[in-house]
Amino acid sequence: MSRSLSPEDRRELGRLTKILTQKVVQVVVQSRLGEKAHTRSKSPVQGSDWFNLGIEDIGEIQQETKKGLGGHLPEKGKPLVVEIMLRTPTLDSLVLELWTLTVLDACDTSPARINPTIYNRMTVLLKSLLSVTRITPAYKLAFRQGPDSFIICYRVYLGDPDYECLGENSVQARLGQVTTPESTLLLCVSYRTQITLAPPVRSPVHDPIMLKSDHFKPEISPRHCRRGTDRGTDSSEATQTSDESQDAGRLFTTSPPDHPSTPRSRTSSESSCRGHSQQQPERKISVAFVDAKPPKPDDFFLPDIPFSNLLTSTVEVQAKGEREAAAPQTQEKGAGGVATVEGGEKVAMTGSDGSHKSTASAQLKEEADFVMVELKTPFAGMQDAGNDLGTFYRECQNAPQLRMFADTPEDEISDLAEQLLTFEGYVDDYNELVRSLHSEESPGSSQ
Amino acid sequence: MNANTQVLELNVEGRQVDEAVLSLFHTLLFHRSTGKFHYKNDNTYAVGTIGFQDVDCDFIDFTYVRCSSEQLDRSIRREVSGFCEAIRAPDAPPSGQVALEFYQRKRGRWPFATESIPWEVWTLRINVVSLNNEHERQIWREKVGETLGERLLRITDTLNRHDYIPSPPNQSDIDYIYDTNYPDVQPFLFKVNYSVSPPSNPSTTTTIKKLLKDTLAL
Repeated sequence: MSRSLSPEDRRELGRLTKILTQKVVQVVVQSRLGEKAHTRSKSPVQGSDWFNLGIEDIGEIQQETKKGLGGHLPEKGKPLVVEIMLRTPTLDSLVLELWTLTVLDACDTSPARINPTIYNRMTVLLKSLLSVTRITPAYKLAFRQGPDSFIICYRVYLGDPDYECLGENSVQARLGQVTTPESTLLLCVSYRTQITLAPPVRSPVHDPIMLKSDHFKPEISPRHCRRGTDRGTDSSEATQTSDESQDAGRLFTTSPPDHPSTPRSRTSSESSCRGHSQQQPERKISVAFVDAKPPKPDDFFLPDIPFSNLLTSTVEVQAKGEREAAAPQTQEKGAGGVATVEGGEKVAMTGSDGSHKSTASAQLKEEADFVMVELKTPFAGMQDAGNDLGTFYRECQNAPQLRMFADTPEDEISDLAEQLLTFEGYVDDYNELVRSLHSEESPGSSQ
Repeated sequence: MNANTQVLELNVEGRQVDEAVLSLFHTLLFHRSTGKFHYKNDNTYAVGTIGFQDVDCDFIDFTYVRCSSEQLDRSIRREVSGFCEAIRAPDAPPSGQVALEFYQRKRGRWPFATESIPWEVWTLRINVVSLNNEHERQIWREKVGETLGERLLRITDTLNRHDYIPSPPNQSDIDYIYDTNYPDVQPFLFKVNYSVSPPSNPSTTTTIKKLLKDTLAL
């Protein structure tokens, strides 16, 4: 039975719950960015932070949280859910974790003061969350993200999570709880233990690629190499967001802990909250060593025409030229296939709902039919990425075009065809020439 | 007063002892530290911010979070290193225990000195296993990481149960509750005790061997 709170205490408790909810989302999502956390301790003279913890808010996550909550707070039967999912370039997605902040009936009947007692309990819960986010398999996976393999996305909503989507043998763990005079806030995580990525087009030859959750060892993970370069890349979104978080930190220090207190009215936000939970807002992750520019189709194009065809049929060569000029909707292997790979990537990055999946995946080349997982070998040099087998493999796969092919443009092929036609047109003259030569030789030979 | 006492058991290789102990002790200290207090008057104070950082273990597949305080890190490493050296000594028994004890001091009545009263004690029982080859080490490295994860969940669940925690003191009594020697964080008063002794259960080694065999058989 809840203890009657004064209006002031109730307001204060609501405010703390709101900030706790926002911080829970920040901690979970930031731990999946694939970056090492390192924040400085500060004396009170340098300013104060919520819950006395150096959690730097990232503006984008803050906005997604507000959208996901729609002005509401978690309540009984409507927990806060932070869903962490993995998405491949072919838009296959896999829910990895469900972090939930559930509200229960049980409450603290002791005369615990909101400030500092409940405040301190919430601080301890956030510290536990910080510690536990590092031990689930998704933490390690977050360091392996890349546009070629997979990215990690998140979704924030209020409502019952679907635990079925975590597959078989999922694990549920309880991090801790905060008992307040009105209710109990219980923080839990459920996570997937079997991570299987299947190719977009199944064929009997290709088995699904198993990613063992603990396959990637910290010491051979690229994060060691990446640590210094991640933040230094100007184009990386991670850098932008960390700048934003610094602004948020400064904001906290100047104005005491109160974030925009303009929640939407309950009636209007109900629908927006529901509607948003259907969407899949996602965060694009920038990765070091990955070229932001998509590769040009020409870079990969090798003319797939049997050499003999050039000499036998001029009509077919012209037809091929027309197909290339047309949209890349043809099923032609080569240029057409690569163009759709490019299109597929674009869809993945813009976070569409996957409706393009069938068209995009159907047009992929056979070589692109599996998810490229960058494998790091033991005993490979940890510091020097240039010695890495993975880099070598990638170099071989994306080998530059052979000069021989580069020097054989389409124009020359069509010229050859025209030349042949011209020669055919002069066939009578040639015959005449041969005959005349023959006739000139004949008198000589007879002499 | 009865201290809240928790015992956790770990089977680790000799070279993993430091990291296994430090990962759990640092997690505990992270939870049991606050930002620095800045008193405005005797009972009104502002609290600073605790920074935190991720630490990857070298010999265990595990990452933990610790307070951003080099001095606190040095201090706990120094305390733990005595235990690690003792348990790794050539003729040392293969097991021992190390405890992180949080305590508060009480003013004694004259002529008695102040007394230390522990209010929370975390004991780690460490069994050292020996492995034969690199393959076994690789498996053990992951296995210990998993075990530490389980232990960490038990720690967080226990710490969030709101058992006894000393109340924030007045300025004059702060040194009776907190260790104020660190420039950036303020942990509750703590100390580390350890003992290295022969296994109480003679079958421990056999059990570990069996455990290893079972793991490798998978």
